[in-house]
Amino acid sequence: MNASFAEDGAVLRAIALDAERTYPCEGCGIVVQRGRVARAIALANVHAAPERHFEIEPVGLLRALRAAEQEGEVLVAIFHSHPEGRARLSREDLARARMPDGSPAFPGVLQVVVSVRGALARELAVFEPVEAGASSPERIRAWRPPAASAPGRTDGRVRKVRLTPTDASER
Amino acid sequence: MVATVLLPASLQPFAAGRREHEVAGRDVGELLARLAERFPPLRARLFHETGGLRGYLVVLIEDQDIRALGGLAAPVPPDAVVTILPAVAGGWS
Repeated sequence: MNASFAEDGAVLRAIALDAERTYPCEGCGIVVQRGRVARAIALANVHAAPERHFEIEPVGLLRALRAAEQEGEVLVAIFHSHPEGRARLSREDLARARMPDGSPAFPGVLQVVVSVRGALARELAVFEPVEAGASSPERIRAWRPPAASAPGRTDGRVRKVRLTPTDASER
Repeated sequence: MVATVLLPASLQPFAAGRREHEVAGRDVGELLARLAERFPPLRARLFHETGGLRGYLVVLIEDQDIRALGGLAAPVPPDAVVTILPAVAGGWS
């Protein structure tokens, strides 16, 4: 397991920005790394109900993995967002991260989940790789985008502040 | 037609620990069935009891998803690279 990207603010910001860009749908992608240099690659969500689900477009995934391999990079994490949801792995996330026999679909690969509320990324959590068995992976890193809790960000970006939808569905 | 089948890390332990396998088959179904004959533990991980491809897997011929090519009936061109990937998916349910 290579978790050094979890300390790389630029990579975490890129993941958070993708989660905001794709709101109100779930954003998704991968993180690849060579040595200590990592980068996030946003990929298309082709699920038929993208507001509550994600499925990475397979051809884009294959091309991204192939290009990364040619650069000597390895897959270290898979990320997705939860619009109006929490930064945690859902039951469906965990089920889909495993093969039917319970073994991990991507051994040694971390999971990243971004909570997005009102089109702003609020929290990002990095989880250990899914292992065989029923236990949930431990969260190894929690990160909040700069000034995420403020009504307007102070990170230099100009943006409209959207009203947070009624949040009766704490997920 | 002989093709190169690339297995994901999660399936390699059931196929002699190798990623690449040279397999002959006219279509994807035949190709994967022959691979499963060679490595029987793969069979249940690739196919349902009814013979269909398991839904958590995606199979691509070169850069094309076989779901757009006829599924398991998709013909395999000579020297094709057939890649199997776990579908990357999830959601709130």
